[in-house]
Amino acid sequence: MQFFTDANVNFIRIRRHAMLISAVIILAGLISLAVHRGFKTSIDFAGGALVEIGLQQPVPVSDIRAVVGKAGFDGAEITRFGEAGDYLIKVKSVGDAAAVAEQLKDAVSAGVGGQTVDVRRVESVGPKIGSELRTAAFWAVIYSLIGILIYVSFRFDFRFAVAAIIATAHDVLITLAFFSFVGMEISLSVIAALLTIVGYSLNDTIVVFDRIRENLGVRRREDFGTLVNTSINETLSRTVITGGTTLLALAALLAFGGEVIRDFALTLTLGIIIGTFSSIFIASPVLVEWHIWRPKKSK
Amino acid sequence: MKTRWKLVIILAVMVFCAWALFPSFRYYSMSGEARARMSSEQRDMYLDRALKLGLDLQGGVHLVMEVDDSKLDENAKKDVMDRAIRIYRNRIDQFGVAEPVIQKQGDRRIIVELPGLSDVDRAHRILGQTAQLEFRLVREQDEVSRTLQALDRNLRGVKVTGSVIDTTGIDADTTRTASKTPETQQASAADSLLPTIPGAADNVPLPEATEDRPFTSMLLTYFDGGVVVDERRKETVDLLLQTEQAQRAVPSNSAFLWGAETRPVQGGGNGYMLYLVEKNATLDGSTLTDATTSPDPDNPTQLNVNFRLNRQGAIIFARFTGENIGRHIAIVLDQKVRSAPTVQSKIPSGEGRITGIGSDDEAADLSIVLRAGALPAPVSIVEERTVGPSLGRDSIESGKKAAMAGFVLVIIFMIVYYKLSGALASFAMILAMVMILAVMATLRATLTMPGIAGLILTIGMAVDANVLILERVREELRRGKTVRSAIDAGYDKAFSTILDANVTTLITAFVLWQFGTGPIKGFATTLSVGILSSMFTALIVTHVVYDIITSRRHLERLSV
Repeated sequence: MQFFTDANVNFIRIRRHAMLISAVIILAGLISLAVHRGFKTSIDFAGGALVEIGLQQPVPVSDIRAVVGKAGFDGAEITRFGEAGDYLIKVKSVGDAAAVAEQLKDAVSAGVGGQTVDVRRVESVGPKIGSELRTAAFWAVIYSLIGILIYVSFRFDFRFAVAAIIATAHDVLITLAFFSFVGMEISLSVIAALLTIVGYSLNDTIVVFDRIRENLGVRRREDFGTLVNTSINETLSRTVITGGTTLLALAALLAFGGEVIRDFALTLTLGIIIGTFSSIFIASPVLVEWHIWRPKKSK
Repeated sequence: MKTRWKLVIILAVMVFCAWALFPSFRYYSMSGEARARMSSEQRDMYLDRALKLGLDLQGGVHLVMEVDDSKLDENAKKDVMDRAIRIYRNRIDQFGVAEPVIQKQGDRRIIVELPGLSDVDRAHRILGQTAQLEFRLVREQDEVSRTLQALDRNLRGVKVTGSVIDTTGIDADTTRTASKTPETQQASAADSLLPTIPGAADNVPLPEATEDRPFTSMLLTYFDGGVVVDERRKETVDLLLQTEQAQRAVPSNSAFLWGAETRPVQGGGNGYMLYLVEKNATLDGSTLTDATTSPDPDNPTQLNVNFRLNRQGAIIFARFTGENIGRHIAIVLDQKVRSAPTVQSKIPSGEGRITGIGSDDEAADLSIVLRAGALPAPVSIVEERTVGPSLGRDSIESGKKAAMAGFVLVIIFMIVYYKLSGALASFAMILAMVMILAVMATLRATLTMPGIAGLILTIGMAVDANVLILERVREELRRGKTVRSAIDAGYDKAFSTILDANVTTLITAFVLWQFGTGPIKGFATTLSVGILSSMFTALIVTHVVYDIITSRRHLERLSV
């Protein structure tokens, strides 16, 4: 079985349309961010207490919400979690998490007719940790970008490095835009996923660049745009197969991985689709645009 | 020749994997019963060499402690972290938690992970206590009395509303220190100063502060070396004592310290003891050599903590008790008075006991922290996570299921799409997976949920390396090359692509590892190990297999 053996799609011709779509999504993301006043941050960043409880007989989430609200926790988030009867209660109050858990346990137990409440997990994160993590995440992104810039400049060319970084920044921005649209909380595992997307998208981009580099050595006469387009088409089957199998593995993660890694898996799924798109429509076209703007004579 | 060397390396890697994973395999396939039967040496071997499961997979407590070194001098600041970690290790070892993680994070933080522990209160007691034991002389009744009078005088005009203290109404000229006040010479007994109500039951409203006795009207009575404060008034009294005016009323060589626990008050309700003690401790816990628990002779349901001091400490303690027969001595732990017994006679043995401890667990924990020694500086708990073992079991199950399902799906696809070559690539991926686990076990790394996620992601990465090679081989075959040269050209050309693509991902993984804590670090570790293993299996292992096949017989067609 083989797909795309003689793919010959003129990706370069439609590059500006693709870029326009990306720009619109990113712009919409920025507007959405401004409207929502930034991202929803998870307890990792905001600080507070997270209590997971289990009940023998499930009750509607609204009941739990009412009980928790009555106990004095305003704006608590309650989500059904895992099996029926499991709830995740997040309260953004700083204080002793164990005491909060006790309070919640008593309140819920009283509110659902004296059922035994099994407290499965208690987490407390101070807001100070949150700000430290935020800085750490920010620097992690900056340093990995610098590292990649240096490596790609060394192995390829400075133009390739810049194009790769632009494509990566594009992926992160689009993913963040989607987070803002759906109101996804930024948590530690989402950040881990975001950084993985950076890695995956680069991986994809590098594969295409590698083919361009190879073709530049062989077909010197060819017009640069055509050469890039040929390279994209030659690697197209690999791009789709790899993306597809990774998505297959992620689908398994989504289906069976459980609540704990759902955000992670969702982010990755989205990121891999975007990463594949950008290696075809952003990274290589940036090289072409650059070439049109300032042709390189040596090659 | 070249192939032979590669074969040797591959065999060595496989032997290494088997050796590294054998203990994990044995340990996790054992029944709980069999594990319990093991000797302690055996268990230590398994715990050391078997793949460790993170807190999120087996449950436990994760704490981040912050050391407050602000009161230390420069010299002591230098090694405060190392000393604190040593003492923590000591405490946790004595407490008996298997495989604790004690880690320095940054300049002032310590991460402590206690797998299998679900009682947060105990974790707090074991880690949160500074365990600074001190013996301080309690001031006698007439001095307490003088100080209370001075407090009343200095605080006249203070307004207390809820927990807000307003001192603007105080006439500055009247505030003087106790020792300089002449009229305190004829001090009346302290209890005559205090309100006469015997105690406060919950339903009895507390009396309002009176204008002429703003401080003593807050107190209940003088009892057994200290004054009693209704528990509902503790916060207010504390705030009053912190005011500048109150501080000036307290003699400079003395300080007020609270009792550690409430005690029932005559007439109902609960109260805290408040003691006036000497400011500097005569003796501290640094000379303590042992601490044990034993039942209280007067109240056998309760446990006491008995401590023993070394020779030097015993000499000081003997002199201290000998000089103060009939007076109260406060046994102070972390700036709270545990008890203030009256000295009956000189104690030459250097032995003493702490009484009135709430529960047996608390007594056991106190003896542990006293034995392990005091932390060099106070600590506070800044982050705390508890993961119930039930969640851990669910996570393991779902993680296993997800990994298996992902793997099977990918293998089916590879075999359908690339036929026999796909089967070989699948074999390489399984080998990569085994290698990752083996390296993780050897590195004593911990497998966490994000780690499993990283593992699943490396399935994708491992696929990529194989896909790159096989696509190249197909391309070369389409150009009309023979099987043998198509394979060689395929590997040759795919090499630089795989190298560049994986190195960039490695850079990201490395940065993640550097900056990440806990879960992110686990993810970065598996990702890095995964990239290296998948490169090894895709570039070397599969190539050798093709080499062997094509050298044995001439292949007309390749199943790809």
